[in-house]
Amino acid sequence: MSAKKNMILISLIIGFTFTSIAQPIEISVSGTPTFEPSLIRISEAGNDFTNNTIESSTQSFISISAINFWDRLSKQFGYRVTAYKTDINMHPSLILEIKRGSNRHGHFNKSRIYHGRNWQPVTNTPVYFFSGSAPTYNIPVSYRIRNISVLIPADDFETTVIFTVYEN
Amino acid sequence: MNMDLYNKYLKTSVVLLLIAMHFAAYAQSDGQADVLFSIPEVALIDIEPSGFGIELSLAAKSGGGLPVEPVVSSGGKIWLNYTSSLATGSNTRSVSVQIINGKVPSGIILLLQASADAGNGRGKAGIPAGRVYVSTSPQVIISGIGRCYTGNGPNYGHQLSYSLMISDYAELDFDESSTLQIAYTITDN
Repeated sequence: MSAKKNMILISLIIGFTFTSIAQPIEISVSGTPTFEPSLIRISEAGNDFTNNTIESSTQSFISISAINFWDRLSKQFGYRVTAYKTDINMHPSLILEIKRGSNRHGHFNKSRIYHGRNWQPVTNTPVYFFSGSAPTYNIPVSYRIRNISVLIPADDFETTVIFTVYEN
Repeated sequence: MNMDLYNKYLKTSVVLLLIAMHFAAYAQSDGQADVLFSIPEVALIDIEPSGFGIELSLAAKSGGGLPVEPVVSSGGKIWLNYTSSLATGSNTRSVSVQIINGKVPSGIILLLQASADAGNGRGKAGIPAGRVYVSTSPQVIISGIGRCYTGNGPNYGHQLSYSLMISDYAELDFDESSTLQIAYTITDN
């Protein structure tokens, strides 16, 4: 084998080693949070909405897995998930909060998840949500909206929550 | 291997290494969830205390030649509460009053005045129109209502004060009495 081929081979080995160390992981989100319109009501004239905080009646589900087959098979990777939102139509007084549930399905029961069990606001800049290790599927995420009031313009509001997973 | 060839291979290796590190640096992935919800428009109005009637009468002063005086003999303190939620760009709302059942006795005018908002709620409450004649056609008593809630119950919102005015003594009939049903309506402007 020529010296040139040797160098290229070495480079590729180094390259694959780096990408292997990187252990690319992916996140997928399924399900859509639903807010029941009946939650936003007024008991009597003169009052504000009865509930100024409403919680979604349905959840979305996050799954974390490794792209690489061998990483998927092993549990040898850690990750952290951040969350932020991009507003399509959102009022600045409204606060969107999320929290995760615990009844996820791990990979051979070896997965671990830390943090994210308490309500936390989602802003337009990424903030840490939770972390974990090993592939984990269907982590439930609940949503709630705070500060609902008749003082906020009546409208259909929409925002997108973006979850990003990083390797640890 | 001469130095030129070595340098060339080294450069190739560095480029491949950087490409690998580039992929490594982008070892992240995104997922998203759409969040949709609605805040409805609301226009609610109420009179407090509920089911409370007001009795108005005319009383003659002692002594001949003196005028009769309208008297509010019971009630007199009723309060108008409301909640108003408006869409972006919507106009304000107003409250009007009208007689929907009954007839004001001859020679008398029924008047209504709303006070300023008591200030126990939040938001942009309406502005009283002053004293208005109450008739079978709607008369605005409060206008400029934005997004607000006045608070619920007596002493919240606007106090409503009814009074009588004699328009024609010749038409007065002291044996005549009348029960009126009055409706309050909140409307978009």
